[in-house]
Amino acid sequence: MISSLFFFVALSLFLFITVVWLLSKPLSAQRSLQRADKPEIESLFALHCRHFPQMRQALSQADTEFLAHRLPAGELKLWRGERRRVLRRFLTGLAEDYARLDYMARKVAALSPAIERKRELERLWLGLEFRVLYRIVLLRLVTEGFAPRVQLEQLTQLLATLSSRLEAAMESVNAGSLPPPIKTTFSP
Amino acid sequence: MLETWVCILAFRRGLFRRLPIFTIYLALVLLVEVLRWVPTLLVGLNSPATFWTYWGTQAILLLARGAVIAELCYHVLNSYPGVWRLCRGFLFLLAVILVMGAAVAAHASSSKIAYLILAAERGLEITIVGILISALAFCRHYDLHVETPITGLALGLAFYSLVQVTNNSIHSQWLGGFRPWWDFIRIGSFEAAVLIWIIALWKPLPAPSRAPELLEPGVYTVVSSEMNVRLRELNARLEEMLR
Repeated sequence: MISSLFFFVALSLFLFITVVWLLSKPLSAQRSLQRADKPEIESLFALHCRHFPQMRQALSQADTEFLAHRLPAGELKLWRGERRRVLRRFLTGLAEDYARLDYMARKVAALSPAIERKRELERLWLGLEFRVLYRIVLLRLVTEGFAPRVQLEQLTQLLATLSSRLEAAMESVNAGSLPPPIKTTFSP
Repeated sequence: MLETWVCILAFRRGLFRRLPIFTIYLALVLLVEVLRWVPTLLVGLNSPATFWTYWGTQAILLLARGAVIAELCYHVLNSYPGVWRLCRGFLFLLAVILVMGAAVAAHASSSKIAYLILAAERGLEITIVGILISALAFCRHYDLHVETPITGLALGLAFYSLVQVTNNSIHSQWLGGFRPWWDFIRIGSFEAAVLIWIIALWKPLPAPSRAPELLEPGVYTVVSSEMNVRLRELNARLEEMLR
């Protein structure tokens, strides 16, 4: 009986905190989008992934080899640390790009006269998967300093492709002709 | 006193035009307060008539609060027909599951009528909060705007329901000894909820927001299919990075 009491008290506290959190102000990442009455459509597409060419230089192994023979160990360590910080900021930027695109997809769903449960559940699941995988990658970067250039380039290209395809879709809407949708099947 | 004030405020602010069921609920609270005094004055506080009048009217108020929650969900989500169609089935199913859970929990509790009623009321209050939280979660996920007065009304309803859950849980543990505190917390928490509603209705209600301009039906299909395909590829790349 005591255990059921603690259970209901804890449940009530948890639910109340959830209600307050749900009713509270939006997340800081969303505030800049909501500040404007109509956020600029450009701000909803991916931005950071366009800077990958500059990142490619930062990830170059040739630079590491060149500097390894010319810099003292201490300075080389500082350089590597700085490179890791830049990479981490770029990965954070990619996550922001994803967040923008996800926000746009959710707003499109909200303003649509009909939405499909299957697609929404699929996007929710894939979004959760992305968050978990992204955080593990970020953790590995911080702890191991690993930076697989090829995969990072592919990741960036994917975000850039998604952004440009969505941009094209929105432009087609304005022009009055929609591109054909891609069929998907959901299997978590 | 506070109940009268919030009822007058609700009519002055024209809340009955936007949330008629909530306005009726406030009037019902006042009516029930008067009705409960009748058997108390005629027959006495500890009589069966007083007991059943109290719990009978409490059941009516509980059902009315359930209807208020349904009205709030409709008011907030109806302007977005796609989201409303998606979530109303889910909310209805959740309500059915929680009510059945409340019935099972009440049945499993002691055969004493007091425990049965406390358990049933606790389960139904959890249902009310569960539906409210689910509707607000949909609003949060789709970034739907909820007017400030409505958030205040929702907060008051949630606060009262959750205090009852806690209160009934403690009271069913220590029935006799806790009774004075149970009464005090019950009345105090409702007064606090009414105070939250008064604060929410203090200023004039904002002008009703225009229904949002909806997109063409095909836009969602194109955007969502593109998004899901690319997301799947993104996750595959991330998994490759980790191998």
